[in-house]
Amino acid sequence: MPALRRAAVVLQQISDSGRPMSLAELTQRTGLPKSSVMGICHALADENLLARGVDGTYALGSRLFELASAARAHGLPIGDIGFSYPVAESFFVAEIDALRAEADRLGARLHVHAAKEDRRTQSRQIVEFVSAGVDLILVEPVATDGLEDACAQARAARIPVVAIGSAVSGADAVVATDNTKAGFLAGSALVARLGGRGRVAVVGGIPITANSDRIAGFLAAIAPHQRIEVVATSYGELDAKSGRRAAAEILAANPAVDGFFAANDQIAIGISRVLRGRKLSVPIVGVDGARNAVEEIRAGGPIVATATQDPAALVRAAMDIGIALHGGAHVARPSRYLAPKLIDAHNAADYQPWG
Amino acid sequence: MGIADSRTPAVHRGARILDAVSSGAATTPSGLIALLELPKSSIADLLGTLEDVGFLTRRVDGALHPGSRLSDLADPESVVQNLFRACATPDLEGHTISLVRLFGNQIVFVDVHLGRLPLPLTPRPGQRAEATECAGATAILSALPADDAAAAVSAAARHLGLTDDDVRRCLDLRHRRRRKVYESQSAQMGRQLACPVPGTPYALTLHVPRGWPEPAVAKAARALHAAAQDY
Repeated sequence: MPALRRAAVVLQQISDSGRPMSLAELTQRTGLPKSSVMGICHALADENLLARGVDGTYALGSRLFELASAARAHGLPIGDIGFSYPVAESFFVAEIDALRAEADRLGARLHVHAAKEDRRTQSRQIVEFVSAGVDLILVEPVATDGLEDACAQARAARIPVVAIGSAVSGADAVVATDNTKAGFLAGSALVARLGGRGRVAVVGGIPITANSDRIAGFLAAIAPHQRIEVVATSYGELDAKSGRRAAAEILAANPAVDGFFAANDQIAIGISRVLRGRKLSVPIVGVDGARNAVEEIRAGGPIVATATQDPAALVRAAMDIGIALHGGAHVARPSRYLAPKLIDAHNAADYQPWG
Repeated sequence: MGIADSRTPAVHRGARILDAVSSGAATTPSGLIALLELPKSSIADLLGTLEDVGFLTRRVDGALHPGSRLSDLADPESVVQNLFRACATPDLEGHTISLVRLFGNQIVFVDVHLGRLPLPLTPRPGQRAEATECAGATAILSALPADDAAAAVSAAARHLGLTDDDVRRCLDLRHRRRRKVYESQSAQMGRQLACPVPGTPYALTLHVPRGWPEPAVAKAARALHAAAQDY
C-alpha cells in the first residue's frame, strides 16, 4: 500500500476516535507495521497534518483543518439540480438549454419537470425535489403565490430555492428581468409609434409579478400622454393561442384599437395573427425578444418592438446565487434584476434572438 | 525533517500538492509539475492516490480541488456546512462565525466563516486558543453533564501535559444552569457569544466586533441560537 494511502488510513483512525492516539494504538487499529506507522506519523506531524503531544500521542493537526476549510470553500459539489417550469414554450426551452450547459459544467444531474401552468403541480414538484434530496431547486413560477409550503419544506431541508423570471413567495432568491423597465421600454415604443395619441389594449399574462411589473411599466410610460387611452384589458397565458383569443375578444368589443401591449411575445404573436387575418395595420409591442417576434419586427410588423429578456443570462445568474446559497454563503443581493433592451426596426437586424 | 531525509517522501509531496491545489497556486497536473518541479510520472502517481483516497477531486473541466474526505476528517459529524448555512441570516450578516470544539483546556477552531467587520484577533481553521478565553468552551462544557464534561477535558489532558489544576480550572468554566447563549470577553480574543450545538461536540461562536451596538448584538445572539438549534 502506498505511503499516502497509509497516511489516509492513519488520519481516518484519529478522526474516528475523536481523541489523541498513541503509536501502539494506531499500529493495532490500522494493522500496519509499526515502523511504517511511525514514519507516516512523523511525516504527517512535520506537515502539521498531525500534532504530536507531550506524551507522544497524535491528534489532528492545524493544517488538516485548513485544508478541510479550503475544501468547503471550494463548495460542496452540486450533484442534482431540480427545475420546475410552466410549459414547454420557447422561452423556457431556452432556459432549459442554458441549465443543461450549467449542469454539464458542474458535472451535475438536471431534473426538469413541466408544471403545466398548474401551481399545485409545481408545488408538488418542489416537494418531490426535496424528497429526492436535490442540492438546488430552480423554479420558473406559474404563480407568485401558492408555493410557500413547498418552499418551506425546501428551506427546512436546507435546499436553496431560486426563482427565475419572477418572484415567488417563500423562495430564497429571485433572478428576473427588470420587468417594470421592460414594460416601460415597450410602452415608450408604442407611444412613439402612435405619435402620442390613440386607443390601446393591454393583454397581460399569468399571475406572476413579472407580468404585473410589465403592465405597471407600460402604464407608467403612457401616463404622461393624456391622448393615449387604455380602452381594453385582457389576459393571455404563455402561448400564441391565448393571444389570439384575447385579441378576438378585445376587437369584438373595441373594433377601433390603435395599438396593443402584450405581456409576452407569444401573446403578441397570437394578436398579430388575428390582426393580419383581418388585414388590420395596428402596432403591437411585447416583452421577451423572442426569435419569431424579432422576425416580425424585421419584416415590418405588426409587432414593432419587444423588450428583451435573456434566458441564458437569467439561468447563469440564478446558478451563481444558488451555488453560493448551497455553499452556505449569505447572498447580499437575493433579488437580482437584469436590464432589458428595446428591439425595434432600428436595431433588430443586429440583435441575436434566443430560441 | 525534509523530504530528502524522510522515510516517507510521498507524504511530504502529497502535502505540497494539497497546499498548491487548495491555495489555487496550481490546479492542473501540468501546473503542479511546473510548480513542484517533480517528474510527470511522480505527479501522476501522487494525484492518482490523492484522488483515490478522496483528498482531491477532479471537476468536469479537469481542474483539481480539495476533496470532501478532508472535510469529513475534520468534521466527522458533517455539520459545518449546514451550520454556516443556517447562519446566513440578515442579523449575522458581516459577522465572523466560528465552529469550535474542545481539546483539553483549549478549543480548536474547526472552521471559520469570515465576516467583514474587524476583530481584535481573526480566528483561523485549526487554530487553538485557551478555553478560558472562549465562550465556546463554556457553551460546550455547560451543555454536558458533569461527568461527561470532565471526560471531555481529560481526553486530551495527557497529550497537552495538563495538571489536575489545569483540568479543574477548565471545568470551572462550566455553568450549572444552562443558558441559550454564553459570553466571554478577553483582551486577546475579544468579545464572543457562543451556543452549544445539540447532539454534537461543537459550539457556534459569534466574534463580536468592538463597539458593536448592543441591540444589534442581542439580535445576532438570537440568530446564533436559532442557527445552532435548527440547522
